[in-house]
This record gives sequence, structure tokens and C-alpha cells, in this order.
Amino acid sequence: MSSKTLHIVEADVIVVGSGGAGSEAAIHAKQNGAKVLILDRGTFGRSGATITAGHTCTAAVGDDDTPELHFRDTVIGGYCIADQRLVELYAREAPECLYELDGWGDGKTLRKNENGKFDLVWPPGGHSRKRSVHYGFLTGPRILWALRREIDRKRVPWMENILVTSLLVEGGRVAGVTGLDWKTGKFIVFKSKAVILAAGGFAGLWPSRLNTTAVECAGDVHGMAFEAGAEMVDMEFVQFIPAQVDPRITHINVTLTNFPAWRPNIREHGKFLNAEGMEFMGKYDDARRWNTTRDILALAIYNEVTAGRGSPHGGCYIDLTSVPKDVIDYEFNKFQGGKSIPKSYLRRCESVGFDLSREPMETGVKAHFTGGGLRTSVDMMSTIEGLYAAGETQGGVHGANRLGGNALTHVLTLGRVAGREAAAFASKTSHVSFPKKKVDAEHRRIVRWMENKYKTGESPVRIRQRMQEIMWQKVGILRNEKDLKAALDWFAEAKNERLQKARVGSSPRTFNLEWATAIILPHQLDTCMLVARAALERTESRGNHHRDDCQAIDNEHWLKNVYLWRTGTGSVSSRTEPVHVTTVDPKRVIDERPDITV
Amino acid sequence: MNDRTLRFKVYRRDPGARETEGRFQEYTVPWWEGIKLLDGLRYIQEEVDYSLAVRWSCRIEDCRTCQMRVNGKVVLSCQVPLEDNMVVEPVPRYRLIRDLVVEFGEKMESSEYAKNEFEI
Repeated sequence: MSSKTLHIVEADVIVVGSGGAGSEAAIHAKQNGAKVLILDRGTFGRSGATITAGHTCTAAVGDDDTPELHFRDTVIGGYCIADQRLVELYAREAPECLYELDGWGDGKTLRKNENGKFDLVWPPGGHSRKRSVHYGFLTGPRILWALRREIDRKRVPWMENILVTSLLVEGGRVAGVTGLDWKTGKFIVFKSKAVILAAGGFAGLWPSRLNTTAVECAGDVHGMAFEAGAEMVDMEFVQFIPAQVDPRITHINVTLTNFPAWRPNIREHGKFLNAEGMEFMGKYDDARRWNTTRDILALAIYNEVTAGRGSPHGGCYIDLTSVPKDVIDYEFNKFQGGKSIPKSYLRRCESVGFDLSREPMETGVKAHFTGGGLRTSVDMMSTIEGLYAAGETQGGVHGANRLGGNALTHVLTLGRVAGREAAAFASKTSHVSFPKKKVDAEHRRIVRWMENKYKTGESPVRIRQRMQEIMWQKVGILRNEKDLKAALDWFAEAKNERLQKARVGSSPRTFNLEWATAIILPHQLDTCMLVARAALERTESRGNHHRDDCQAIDNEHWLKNVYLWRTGTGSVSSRTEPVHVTTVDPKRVIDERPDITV
Repeated sequence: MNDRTLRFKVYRRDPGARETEGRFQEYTVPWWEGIKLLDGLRYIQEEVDYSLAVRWSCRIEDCRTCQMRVNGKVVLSCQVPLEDNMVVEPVPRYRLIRDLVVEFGEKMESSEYAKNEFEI
């Protein structure tokens, strides 16, 4: 393509994604003097998984709580393989981050008690203190609302409907990104000194009906960063979570199916049953039962269903029919507060003819949160100079399982660190030379799909559907060597053969979902490969990673993380490193807390 | 399996291809228990007509980007059960990108229907 027709946009720091992490990063980069630009593939301020966060955001702000305790709970909850340097940083900065966020919404972002302090409630299983800050069931939307206000106030520029297609790296340093403008079909080059990838996780690699994430979290950015040379960590850890499988209520937030487990009032009267009417959680975690950590709950449901004790749509039952009416009304209505509560769960359920005080709720498991991602140091820089990762795109923060409520805290807190650090980096560096050849090659890769060279061919949409089914069947909750190897073969064949012969049949150049699928699919297939490969490497079961051919946790050999990167020849290499420890000695935790070794 | 189907009309127009007039295209999709309008539109995009432009994000009523006009009334398509004879159009007052997809831009925040129901 000639340089005349090339659209170039320049900034110091490009932020990819406008959810919790991206917004925090952009605000703090701007505050620290950088010329920032946010790119979002969807609708600005509306896309990504932050908005889906129903309820809790944890921080050590209670009188009986400290960042050290939050840190310790998180490390133990992650089966001792989270990067303790990152956990320490976020537990320490979380209170300050939330006070700042509260200020951006004029002190009304998050709910307060009568003393004007954050109204604290119990978080989901695994936390030892009451540390959930919230805004009823609208915590995620509310946080985005406050971030949006600050972005407007600080006049942080943004562009929406921009699909980032590749990372530009020159001589080991980031030079910017390329993007496709969905509104016009134009190819745009974004030159920058630093790039912050805050584009969400990869739960979108599982079928839509079996994941709970937003559509933007398609998992392509991980493959894109891997291709550019970034090292990935913890890719095997995918959190599956109890979620509605009753098709009438699948549009209702996953909080509905998780909330009862950790609200003492509901738990006291409610039941969690399999299809035979048995309360089965005692078999899996006798001490905590229904209020156990998410990994154990998900595996338990999965086991009951596979053993033939599941509900018609493949789940178990949350039975709240014997919970007193006033408790139901308080928990699912009034707790959300406000004079009018059109989004209360009771009302949302009513609107589709489901009454949770009369019928049990079918609850299965879906891919929810992904713990793996780009390896970063404590300044959030990846292994590529100038490339930062924040939020769910970043790996290593939660270890083998994420505690409920820690996601918002992580993405907001480390997002602001990434913004700060990227601005500092940009202030002392200059733009690297423009990788013209790479830009041309990427442009060709994108437009070739619209040239319709082939008259016939499979649509990339079909390949993606198949990919998602394989992720569920072979790289799902319960894994084994044979399935993982078969999946790896399939991903390689799909990328190297099927996709090469595929054809985009639809011709519009604006908002063409088939074209977009073709563009991101090779990166998605790479991310699938990384998940399967990491899962194959880890020959034990820990947290969210379960192998039915290596069922036990192996603390002797596996207090380690799996790192994957692309070699010069394009193949994938792996290595393990002992977990990064600061103050919590995993060996001592295991001696003190034998329950986490079960 | 069941043989029940649902038939409804979807607005199509590509301003990028200089189409000045929109038209309605009729589609038939299989019925399933609990099927929402967004499910039907996504079924069309993935199984019947790859070129249909439709926008969604969270699928759980929070992001509000799947809003569209059904029989003249603005709704969230992830929430509304799909019914026979629905007439589906893009939301008014925004610039049309294609079919059911509009450019929300700055206007999103001031749109009455985009607001989450916060009590402040």
C-alpha cells in the first residue's frame, strides 16, 4: 500500500481496551503527562468484562483488615503459585485506588454505611475478612460510570470500533499497533512509544453458551502478543464458574447463581442439590461446603453432571424455595438499594417467567475468568520493551484460582500502575523507526480476505465454532494428555491448512463480523494452543487446572509457573520457574493448611 | 429437537455501499426454549447469513449496546424473547454503520435508554 493512502495516528501511549484496566491505565498515563489514546473494538466505555462484574470488589479497608491479610488470602486461594510481587502490589494499592475511584464519582461511586465509610460485606469463599466494597449488583457498571466521568473530565481521547490486528515491534521494542476501523473498513497505523494491552481475557475461546465473558474478550490479543514475541504465563488456569443454564435466564448476570453461596442469610435456608435431591458439596469440601472456592464448586458440579446426577440443561440446583420471603426480598431487591430498582434480580427473573422463590435455579459451569496472560514485571512491562499488560490480559496475578471479588481489584489497581509506568517510560524514550515492511504485510493479510480469490471455501466462522467446541470438549474443566494432544493437532491444522483455504463470502467493508473473525482467528488459535500446551506441561491438578490422568496436587514438583514463548522459527518453547515468593512461604502454608492440598 | 420455527423481519442497509434506502429481509430460525431476539440474530449471522451486521457485548443487560427497535419500541435484544413477526430495526438518532449497527460515540452517554438505572 502506498504511503499516501496510509492513515497514521500518533500517540505516546496507546491503550487497547476501555474496561476497568484500560480506563485506569489511560487516566493515570494522562495524569503523568503522556499523550494517550484509547482504542476499543466495541463501544467505548461499554465493552469488556468489567461491566459484567455484578457485585464485589475487594480491598483491605475494614478496621480488622490489612493489605498483608488480603495478600495472604489471595496467595493461599491461588494455591501458592501467584506471583507474590504482583499480589503484594495490588493488595497494598487497592484501598487508595478505590478511594480515588470513589472521588471520581463525587464520593458516590461505591456504597457507604451510616458513618460515611465503605459498606463492607462478606466476599465469596476464601477471604478471611469482610472486604467487599460494592454498589449492590451494579458494581461493575457503576465503576465504569465513574471511570468514564474522569476520562471526560481529563479529556482522554478515545476511538471506538477499532479492531487492533497486530502489534508492531522493531528491534525488540514496541512501535505501535495496526487496526481496522469497523465504521469505515479503513486500515490505520497507530504509532506509539508504549502500548498497554488491557483487552480482557480469553474466556471467549469457549462456546458462547458456555462462557460468561463479554464478546470483546475473544482471546486474540494473547495470541497477537505471543506472535510479537511476548512471554506468556499461567495459560492453563481458566476459571470455570457456576452459572445459569436455564435458557430462560441465561441473559441474567452470573452473580445471581453465585451470590446465594456466600450470603449467610440465604445459605442458612437455601439448598444446593444435585438432580437426586442430594446436598453433595460435603463430599468435595466438608468444611466450607457450598461456600467453598470457585474451582472446587465448579469441579463438583461438573462431576455430578458427568455422573448422571445433573439437571435437564446440564447443571445442579440452587433451591431457594424454602428461604423466607422477607430474606429473598431483602437480598435480591432491597440490598441493591435505591428507590427504583428495575434491574433487581427478582424483577429481571419475573420478566421471563422465572420465580426463584418457587422453582430451583439450574446452575451449570461456564468459562469465566482467565488467570493466564502476558508475563509482566512489577512495572507491568511485558518481556517486550514498551509493551505493557494490564487487567485480565496480564498473567500470574491470581495463581491457580482467583478468589471472588479480586478481579475488579486487580484490574483497577494494576491498571493504574501500568498507566503510570508507561507514561514514565514514554517520557524518556523516543519513537522507534517505523516498521514499514511489517505494516505492509499486515495490510495484505487483512485485505486479502476481501479479495475473494477463491470461489468456494469454508467460512472462518465455521472454523471458529469448531475451535470453541474443541476447547470445551478437550481443553475444558477436566483434562488429560490424550485430549490435549488431539486439541493441539487440531489447532495446528486449523491454522496452517483450513484457515489458508477458508473464504470470506460476505462483501461489506463495514462491521463485517465474518471478516473480523477471519482476521482474529489465527491469533485465537494461537491462544488455544497456548492454553492446551500449558495444560499439557502441568502434570498435576491444582486450582482451576484439573487433569484426570494426574489427579493429585504435587507440591514437591509444581510450586512453579509455566512460561511459553515463540522461538525464532515460529514454534513454541516452554520452561518452568519456581514461583516468585516474597513473604509467604508456600511450604509453610502447606504444613499449616493441609486442606488446600486436598 | 423440535420443528417449531420463528419468522421475523430485519432491517438491512449498507450506507458504505451507497445504499440510500433500507429494506426488510425475512428470516426463519429454529425456536428453542428461552430464545431471545439476540440469540435469533446471532443464529442468522453464524448459520444463515454471515453478512448480517449486529452488535452486542455482555449478553446480560448491562452494556446496552445490543439495543434496537422492535415493532417501533427500543429494547435490549439480549433480554427480549424472540417472537414471530417481529420487525427489527436499528435504534434511531444515531448514525447508521450498517444493518442493525449504529455508531454510539459520545451520544451513548446522553441517550436515555443507555443509562443504567443508578440512584444517585
